[in-house]
Amino acid sequence: MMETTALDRKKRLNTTSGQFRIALRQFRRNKIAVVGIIIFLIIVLSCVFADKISAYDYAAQDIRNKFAPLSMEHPFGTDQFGRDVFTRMLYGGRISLVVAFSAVLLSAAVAVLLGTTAAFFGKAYEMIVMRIIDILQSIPGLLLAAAVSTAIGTGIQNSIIAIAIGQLANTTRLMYSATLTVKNQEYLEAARACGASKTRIIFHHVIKNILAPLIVQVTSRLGSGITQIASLSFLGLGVMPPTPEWGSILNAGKQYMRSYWPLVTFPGLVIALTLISVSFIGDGIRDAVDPRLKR
Amino acid sequence: MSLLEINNLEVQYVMTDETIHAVNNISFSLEKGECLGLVGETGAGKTTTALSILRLLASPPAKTVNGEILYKGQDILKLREKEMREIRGDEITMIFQDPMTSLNPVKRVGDQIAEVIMQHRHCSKTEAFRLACDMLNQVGIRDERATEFPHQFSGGMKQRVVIAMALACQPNLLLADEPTTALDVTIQAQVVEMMIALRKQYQMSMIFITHDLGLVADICDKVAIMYAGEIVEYGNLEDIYLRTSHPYTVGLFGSIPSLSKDVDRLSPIQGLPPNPAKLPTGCKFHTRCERASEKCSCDEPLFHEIEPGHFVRCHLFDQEEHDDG
Amino acid sequence: MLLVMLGVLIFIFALSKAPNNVDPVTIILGDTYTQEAYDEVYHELGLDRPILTQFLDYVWGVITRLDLGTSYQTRKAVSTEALARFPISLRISLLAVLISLPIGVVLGIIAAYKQYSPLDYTITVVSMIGQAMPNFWLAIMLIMFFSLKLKLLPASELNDWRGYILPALTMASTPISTITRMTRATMLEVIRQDYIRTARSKGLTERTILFRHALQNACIPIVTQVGNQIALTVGGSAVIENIFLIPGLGAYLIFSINANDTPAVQGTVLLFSAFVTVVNITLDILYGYIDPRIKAKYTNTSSLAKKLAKEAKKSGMEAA
Repeated sequence: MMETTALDRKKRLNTTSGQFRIALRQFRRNKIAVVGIIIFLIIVLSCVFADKISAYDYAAQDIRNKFAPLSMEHPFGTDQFGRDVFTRMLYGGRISLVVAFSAVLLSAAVAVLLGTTAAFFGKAYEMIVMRIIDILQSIPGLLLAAAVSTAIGTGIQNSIIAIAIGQLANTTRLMYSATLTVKNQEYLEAARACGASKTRIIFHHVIKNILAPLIVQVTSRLGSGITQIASLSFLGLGVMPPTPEWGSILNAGKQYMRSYWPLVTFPGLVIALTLISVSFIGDGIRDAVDPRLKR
Repeated sequence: MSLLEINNLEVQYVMTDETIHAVNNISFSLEKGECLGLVGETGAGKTTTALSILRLLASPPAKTVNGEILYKGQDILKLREKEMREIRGDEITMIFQDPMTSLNPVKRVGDQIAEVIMQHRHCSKTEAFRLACDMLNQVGIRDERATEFPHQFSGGMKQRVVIAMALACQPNLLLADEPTTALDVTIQAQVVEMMIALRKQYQMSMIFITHDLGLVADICDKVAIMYAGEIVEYGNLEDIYLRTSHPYTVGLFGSIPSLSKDVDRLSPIQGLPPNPAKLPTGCKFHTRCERASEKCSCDEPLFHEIEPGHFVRCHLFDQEEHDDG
Repeated sequence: MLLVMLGVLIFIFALSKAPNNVDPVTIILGDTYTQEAYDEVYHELGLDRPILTQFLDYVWGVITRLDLGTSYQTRKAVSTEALARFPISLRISLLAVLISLPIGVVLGIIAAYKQYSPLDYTITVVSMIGQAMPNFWLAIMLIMFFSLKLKLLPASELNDWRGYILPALTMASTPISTITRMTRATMLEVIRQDYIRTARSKGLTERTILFRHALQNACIPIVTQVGNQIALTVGGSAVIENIFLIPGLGAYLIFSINANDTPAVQGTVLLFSAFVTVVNITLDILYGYIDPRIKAKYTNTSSLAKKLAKEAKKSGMEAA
């Protein structure tokens, strides 16, 4: 007649797959996060299938049709060269999203490497790495990316690198402190009996410990990645016209702000929606992963 | 009229997927100057009981479903928050289990004690601080230390500060929730001795929550053994220690390692405490009881008075009561 | 700290020597020039000296004379140009943060105390949106609405105080949201602490508990966040200044980048970095006053504990 005790339940929950399932369930419960995912998926899929959705060529100019009034053919209007804005947004999204994603992933990969090794191996290596991180961190992100752009140039590839460097410091620091806390504990446990595959145990625990903050960090950095590539292009760095990119489209629109509002409103709206949805998703993940927040 | 009288108190924690029955219909009373020991394992409902006396339970999810708590004849549960605040810190105070976290880390120790004095005594700041220093002296801390911060004190000293804070306004009733559990054994002894002395000095009633039967013998007059939110045995020291009746209490005493005897194995009570969200039917202890019978799994036992002032909640004593319920 | 500044100097110097940079001589001389003129300017700029000498000269100039080099564009000292623009950016950033702080903290406290209520929900969602919203879009929308449609506020003149409103508001959107969320999260944690329960058991009013116990403990992360936001807004000023046509330091940087004016870029980045560093140092000092434990931590703790404490602080800074 004895019900499953609290102990049995805890055992089941403590496995990695168990925790993953809990996180997933928690995430699904979070209505805001679900809304975020839906919006985000819509935007991403639209960009991916841009050619299926829109018949226009994003580069095709049609000067006579410039600044066209909104209609079914041009739901977002046309720009100063008569190009359909909606189409340019779809294709531009590919660039913006790809650059942001790549930059964030690149940054995360390097950060994990640097941060964990710095915490682990310590001594001079650690000091050097963390001083470099301090240096990078003292320059505000966007400016850092901009400054790096001066050194390596603009364009898609270079923008990815520039933005990745801009975000590097933050994530590295996070990985570093996460590994530090494990390092502190692991020496105690590893000092105990089970000597075999000590490295494997440490590895395993380190991964577990950094996984959660890493996921949270990557999702939240995605938003700033998108902002940064858009800002860079907006300022004349980043991606160059005629390659469509959300920021540069917005930049062009700014000049015609007074006379033709769609060119500035819609690109901004799309950017805003994307960022907001990413933010919702990021929050949802953070809430799902953080064990402390229970109702 | 008793100083404190609790009748049929029932408290639940209502969570999203389940309801936890923390306190299930307990009743007891406390006279002026008496010390009641509330004994039980973790999760038995002791802390919840104490917190409900001061109405410090977080109101969702906690819910007082039933019962009354009469302090000096007045039902505390029905008081307005403003009136409750006047009682807290002044007439009824509480000290908590973990001294490490009970004090505000960014405020000076003397200020924290002075704060409660100023709240209830309407004196000046300097006056209150002076009284705070006096209190510190009483608990064995030099008053130069009143300007220091909590992190500068050791665990035992911190707990003394907490005690000083709780006694600053000379309360009628002190609720002590495992005040020595987090301390080293030697410090424990000092703190307990100090509490006994202060209690005598201030003629204070006390509810001492613990799971340590040794401490109870030192400091308490009456004992209530709690299990799964109920009081399963209740009586004065002699009753409980010499004429232990309830199987759970017997088990508790039996599981204490003995200094004198040599045994091969310890004898804990078999099984584990029940899940408070899914309590067993009938007697809540029957699943772990060596002397359980069929009756125990379906009927809830009544609280029988097997000798004057000594109550047991067990079917074994169904015929042995002196008078009904 | 000084080591960091030195590192920054090295970093931007290295950037300026990177291959992609346009040859500075051509910037100065234009498109057509003789080999002689080229050599002359090359020598004048000191580019013919070994790299290490150039670097040391530069560092020396910065340290002793605050000389950040000479702009290729204007042939004037970068320091004068940059330092003239810096106060403008600073003013807007400070204004933005000053607006955000009280609003953010108040909203955060309300949300924390009324957790799970519709009000909390609204505040949380709105601050999430505010945090995610790209501020250049917000700027443009505000301009279109307030300047063009309503003709209330100027879009690009800083002639009087009204010119500061829209830029400051735009820049405030992120700090308000971030501070609100940070305050809410911190307050939620703080009010669950044991010492709050102790305070309540002393019979103190909720208001006293909030102001004298909870807030003081919640201060530290909030102060960190404020410092963080100051640094962030200064960094994000580039775009805003671009939109509102404000002659601030961020705009100057972008302008210099586009003009390939390397000394100007170097000097500006250095200035930004110095500012952020100063803010951080100030924060560190401030912590010592707010939290007595931090003061103690720096007296005698193990090196690992000290490291962990510093890391916790720094990570907390970037946490939003």
